[in-house]
Amino acid sequence: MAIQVVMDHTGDTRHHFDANDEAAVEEARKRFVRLTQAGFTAAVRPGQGTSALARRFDPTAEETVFFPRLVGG
Amino acid sequence: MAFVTLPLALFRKRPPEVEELRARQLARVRRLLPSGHSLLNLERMSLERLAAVGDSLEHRAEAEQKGFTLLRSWLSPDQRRQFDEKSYFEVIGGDTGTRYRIHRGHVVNVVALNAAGREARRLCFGPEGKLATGDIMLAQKIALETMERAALVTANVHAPNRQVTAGDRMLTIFDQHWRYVELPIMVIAAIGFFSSLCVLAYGIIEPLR
Repeated sequence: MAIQVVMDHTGDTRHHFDANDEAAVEEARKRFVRLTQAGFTAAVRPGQGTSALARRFDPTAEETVFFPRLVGG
Repeated sequence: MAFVTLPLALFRKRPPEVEELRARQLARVRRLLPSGHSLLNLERMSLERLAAVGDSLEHRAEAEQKGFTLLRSWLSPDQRRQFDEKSYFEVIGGDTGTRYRIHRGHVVNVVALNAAGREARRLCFGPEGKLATGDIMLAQKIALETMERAALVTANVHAPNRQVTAGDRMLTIFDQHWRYVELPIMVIAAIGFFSSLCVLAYGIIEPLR
């Protein structure tokens, strides 16, 4: 099961999907596009303790984290 | 008649069940409140208000817990150990190779270290909106590792113990781009130095002819 983790005020909201289920993958792809268009940054974890930006939806990515756009504090 | 019943209602003792519920809610709110928070107003709150405050604090605590769980799952074993022991972890900037220390917190909690491992400047940036502390720290880690320059442009920069000015920002930019101008400056300086030596030698030799 792949997972998309969207950071929000509740900590995060998790969307699980089966990478072999076409409809679920399509829904995940739409979520990816919707969130990145809204300014969220998507990142994946290629290895332990490392991170990489996900500029395109990758249905094989096990875990994708989305966080809102960065602002100065 | 109201002028008699109203003051009496104010002093009327609450039923013991309500008192017990209130005490329970008060204890719950006190347990969830961050230490050092003033408790003065809690004593005067109604049962309903106390319950609402308790619910809100409980949701916040759950969000914080989830945030730290997510953060820990993205840290390397070394970073996790460092975070457990020192309440901060270090990451390497993806563009400049600078070492950053991300402290537990969400305001001015990122420290850029110099080559000697000392605090060079403090940065304040994070994801928009009200997020849990762990989520903010994870976003800061990902940003520094994968889009360091964008994060630095967004960040408000603070020098240790003081607010950073436009001059400090210029220094920060200079620091980041120094390696690109270092070689040309050294070459120009070397040419200048040898030219001066030639002029000096000419000035000494010429009168002796």
